[in-house]
Amino acid sequence: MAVVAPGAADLPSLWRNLVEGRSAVGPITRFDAAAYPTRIAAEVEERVEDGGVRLDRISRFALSAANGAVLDSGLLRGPLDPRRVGVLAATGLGCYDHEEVFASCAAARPAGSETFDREAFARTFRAVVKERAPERRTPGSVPALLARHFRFSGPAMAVMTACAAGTQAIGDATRWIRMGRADAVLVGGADSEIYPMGLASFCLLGALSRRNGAPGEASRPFDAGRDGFVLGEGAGFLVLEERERALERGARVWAEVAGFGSADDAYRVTDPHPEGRGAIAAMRRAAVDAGIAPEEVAYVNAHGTSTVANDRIETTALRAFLGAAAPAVPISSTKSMIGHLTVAAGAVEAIVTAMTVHEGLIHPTANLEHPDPECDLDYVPGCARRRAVPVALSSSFAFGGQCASLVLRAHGG
Amino acid sequence: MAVTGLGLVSPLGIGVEATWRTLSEGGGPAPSAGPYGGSRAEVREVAGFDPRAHFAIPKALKLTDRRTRFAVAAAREALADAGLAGPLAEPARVGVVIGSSGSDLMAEEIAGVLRGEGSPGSVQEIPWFASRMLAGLNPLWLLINLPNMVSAHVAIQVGAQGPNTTVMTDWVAGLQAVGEGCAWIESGEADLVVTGGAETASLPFVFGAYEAAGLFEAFPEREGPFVFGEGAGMLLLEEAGRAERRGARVHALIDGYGAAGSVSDDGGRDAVEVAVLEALEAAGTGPGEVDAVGLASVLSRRPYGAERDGLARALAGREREIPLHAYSPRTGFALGASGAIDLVLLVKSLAAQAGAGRALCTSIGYSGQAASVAVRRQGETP
Amino acid sequence: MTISHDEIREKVIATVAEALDHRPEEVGLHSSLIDDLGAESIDFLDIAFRLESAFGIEIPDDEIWVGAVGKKNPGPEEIDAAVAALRERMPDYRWDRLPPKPGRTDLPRLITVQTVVDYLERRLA
Repeated sequence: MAVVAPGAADLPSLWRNLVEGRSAVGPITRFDAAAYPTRIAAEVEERVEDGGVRLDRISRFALSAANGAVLDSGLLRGPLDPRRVGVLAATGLGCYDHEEVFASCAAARPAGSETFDREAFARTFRAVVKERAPERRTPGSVPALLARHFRFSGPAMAVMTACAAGTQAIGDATRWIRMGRADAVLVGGADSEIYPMGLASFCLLGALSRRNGAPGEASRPFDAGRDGFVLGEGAGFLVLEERERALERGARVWAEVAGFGSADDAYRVTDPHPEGRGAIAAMRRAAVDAGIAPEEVAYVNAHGTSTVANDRIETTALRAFLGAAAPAVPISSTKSMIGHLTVAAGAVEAIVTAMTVHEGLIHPTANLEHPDPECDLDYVPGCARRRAVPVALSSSFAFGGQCASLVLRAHGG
Repeated sequence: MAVTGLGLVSPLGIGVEATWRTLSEGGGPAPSAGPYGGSRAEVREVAGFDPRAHFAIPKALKLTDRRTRFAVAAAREALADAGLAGPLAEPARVGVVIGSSGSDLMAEEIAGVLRGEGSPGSVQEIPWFASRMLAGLNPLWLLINLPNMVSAHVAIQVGAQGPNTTVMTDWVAGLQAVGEGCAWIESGEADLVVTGGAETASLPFVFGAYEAAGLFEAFPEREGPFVFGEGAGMLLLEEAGRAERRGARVHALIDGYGAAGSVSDDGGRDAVEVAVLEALEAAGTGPGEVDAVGLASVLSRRPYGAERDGLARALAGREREIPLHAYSPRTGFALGASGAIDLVLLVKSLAAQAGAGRALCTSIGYSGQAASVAVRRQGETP
Repeated sequence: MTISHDEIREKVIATVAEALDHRPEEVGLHSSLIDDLGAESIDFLDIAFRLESAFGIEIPDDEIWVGAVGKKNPGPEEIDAAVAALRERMPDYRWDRLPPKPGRTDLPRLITVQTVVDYLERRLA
């Protein structure tokens, strides 16, 4: 497993930050955000190493985290049939180049023109276009980039269910391995929406926190004072491997993916179903798939975005899923410290959940000072807790009503 | 896996029958110049499409781009074709997985917001750019452009509460989605899956990006320009025994799927070969039994050559005897939807042609990924 | 430039009707945007955006909707007070659809076409 995450050089430092409740949110530095109502985010401090290929930021994140994961797995140290290794990546948003897109659009409507000038658009596009333009048009090119880099010639696929995609990808990879499509899958997600148009589009939806004066306190899932989410960015990749194969080669096992569930609210585009029917269905399917009863879940890594609607409905859904056990289950939100990694969120949070299971240590939900009375479960305010976590759940929910849940189990647990 | 429903929106017609008729009788719209000035590529567009006729909840239209509208229309046609029009009996058991290479970005709308500034350089002044966007852009822009909305809207419009995903692996997305749909049913995650691909290619960024990569360069085997297409191809999949029990008509059975990637600079040739062989092996058959091949040939030297050469290797010398169905010269090349549109037409042709019992559909992506689906007529032995 | 009450009302009705996919005759002054016209949260953004173009003004954030209850994140007492005031102002609203003691999540349901018209009359006065 490996991550590219805000405020952390690697997975161990991310884990340390989370356990210590340290926020990575700060003022936006990558561009001049003065004109935006939200001027804060959880940025990745990046040293660009792209081997001379002009990769976009998301592809660089993906390559860097995937490199880390492959190294960590030791997969390349033993005999390996590259045709039996697949790649699955959650990608699908803003790889596009600001200048290519917007300079061309601006040129298409010069002063006084009433229509879109195709010639002027094309002239400017041709003048500013950079290498790898088709790859940026199609964020789905990321898994193919990784496959080529590692020379894995099994299936490579990009899945996109917005904020649920990282979780979805891990579920899909698990199915590939179970069905024999691959012996191992490099799987994860990468995203950055912290660029001028990305920030504008989320501001326009009124989805982001405006606590510009106190960035570290802006992401406050389940707190009564929450006012929207904070954008994060980064990538998380894991190597999933068929259990017996991993054990035979003596690989270190962080955790086991025991079950996966996907569902759709089929209700509305942004409003979650009031009872959280898609979320409940995804969690129940994951539990059934893992062969566990809901009360066996010892920890939940929540979607916990810090928006008014999500946190309340997620509480309703968790209560319905966990049943009588609900008040006793510790639940925390990674987004309270590293913000919302959008398409990559589920992948990084699954990695954090695997760490939780492996270490027996539960990170807190930061900034949970005055719990919303309607979010009345144990959202782990304050400090980290040491406790054995044999079985954990990680969920992600998306615009469009797509919901995905994973059940992770401690190895040997 | 039984295919019990088909749905199609293509430049040749709205609906499977309308497209099939145009395909058989000849004709169809002439390609037009497309949205990118001075390009050698052209585009065939879907004409006469009224999205309102296909949306159960028309208010959602304001949140949809063109490819999503095609997807909803084709998905509902596939369900109706399978005898499943109207509310679904078990919505939680119905999944949706759709391939699409990317979304629209709405160049004309953005241009309208940035209008009048003359100098393209001003977009690099972020405070200026931001104030324009924040004041003038439709606040729903992101929701319209989120690529996953294609499968989300289909779920909302048909009421499918099962698993839901959008696959985005460039041009191979449509066939990969079909492969995932089969897997969902095999693994018991869904009983019915609406799957396929949807795309709009008539976008200035599509033209610009692929022109820059040299995709439109002419090559000797073909005359005429590169022609993009658009549309959606959808299939309704269910387990064959289930289809039989409910007395559904079965268009064809999908009994093999293969997917692979190329890691060398062969443009995907090796990937095609591996994907085809995997699909045939999964179907328990070999090159000798294949009666027809559909190939999402992309009218361009590089991918077309790789696809043809990969197929030739996999079919071990039989490639000259087997009829090739390359629909994209007629429909236009619909990027991520191409494999699914071709598969729908190939299934249709299996049903229409006496004597053809087994066919193979292949698709190759820009980045060298390939997928292949083996289909046979029901009643044919594997 | 002055604009009459009738013009404001007609423009608002036309805008709301278009955004929520209704015929203008289906939209009444006392229609609840959520309960009667099927609005979801993003429709409020959409309606505000459309009103900005229709009236050539800028509408800061959720100013229109906050106007209905006076405050963005009201506490329990403030909710009670706001509801009491609205009962007074909106006798024609179908109060039987709300729970006897409405909570924070019920407040958006109290936004009617009249709420929007009132806001614009204040803005354009």
